Amino acid sequence: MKKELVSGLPKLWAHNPAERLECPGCQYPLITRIVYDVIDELGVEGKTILVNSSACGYGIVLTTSVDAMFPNHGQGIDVATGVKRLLPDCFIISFGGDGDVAAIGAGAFVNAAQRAEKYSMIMVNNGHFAMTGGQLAPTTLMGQVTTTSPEGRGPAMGYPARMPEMIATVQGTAYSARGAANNPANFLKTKKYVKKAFQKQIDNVGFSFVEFLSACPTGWHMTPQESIKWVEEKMIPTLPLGEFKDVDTLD
Amino acid sequence: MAKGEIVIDEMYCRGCGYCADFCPKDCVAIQEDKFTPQGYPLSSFVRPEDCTACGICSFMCPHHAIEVYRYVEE
Repeated sequence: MKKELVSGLPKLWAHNPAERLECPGCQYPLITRIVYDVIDELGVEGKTILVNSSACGYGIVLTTSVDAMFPNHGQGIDVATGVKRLLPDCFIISFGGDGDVAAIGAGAFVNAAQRAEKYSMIMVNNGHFAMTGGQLAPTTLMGQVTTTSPEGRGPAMGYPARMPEMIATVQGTAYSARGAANNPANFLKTKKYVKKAFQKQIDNVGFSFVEFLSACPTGWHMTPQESIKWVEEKMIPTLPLGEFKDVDTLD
Repeated sequence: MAKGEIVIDEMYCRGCGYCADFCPKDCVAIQEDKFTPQGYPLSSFVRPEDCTACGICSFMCPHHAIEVYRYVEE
């Protein structure tokens, strides 16, 4: 009997086991898979440039065959702006963590949307600064224990940032959404969001943004199963999934 | 009757168990006595007869360790 491949390694994956750097149960590579699949489906592989600031997601630069660059922490948004303005025909994806978008790069992020830069931004939110050892981030949930909030985040440490809702109020934003991969249905929905966001760039409408809620078992000190449950029970009620803005013209 | 089969790459599997959690037919499971070369628990294809080749275990695997094949009539 003949066999047909249904699903396997993403097509743009550079097959090198030595470069597998993620922790067991990390959901970062799921958004990597979504991005690779959508690039492939839209047929923009040849003109794509990935701009990835330093975060756990540096794997996306190391594990792909498309052009990629790796600017300093928080500079991914501004570097992507420069690349897109220099090469307007290229397809630019800026890829960052919550530190990149909500903390050190927050000013750049808001102003890129306000200038209606025509590229797509993906933020992976795991609720803390995972790569530097799990410190409190702007997106940390109330009560969440991190290395710098050992008794849980209280009102004295502020409240979690909701980036897609915030950026949806900026006129230059064409698309803003939040997805997760706590179950296969949400994974497929997130893929739809990413595809729509990339389509906005191809149609030259404006800034498009997708936030992805990622489980981080290592940083949260949980088993992978507990971390998925945490995303379901704690993260999604605070940071609801869905689309917050979807327009075809900015006027 | 199996409609397909899966292949688990031992080099990539890190034993997180998402494949076992999300498989709608419980065809994949983490077995306590099997390990990858890196020392992580290894997931195994325990009930091949129920597999429908839906692909969920593959696309929900963060480590891209699973390939899903569907049988097609020639």
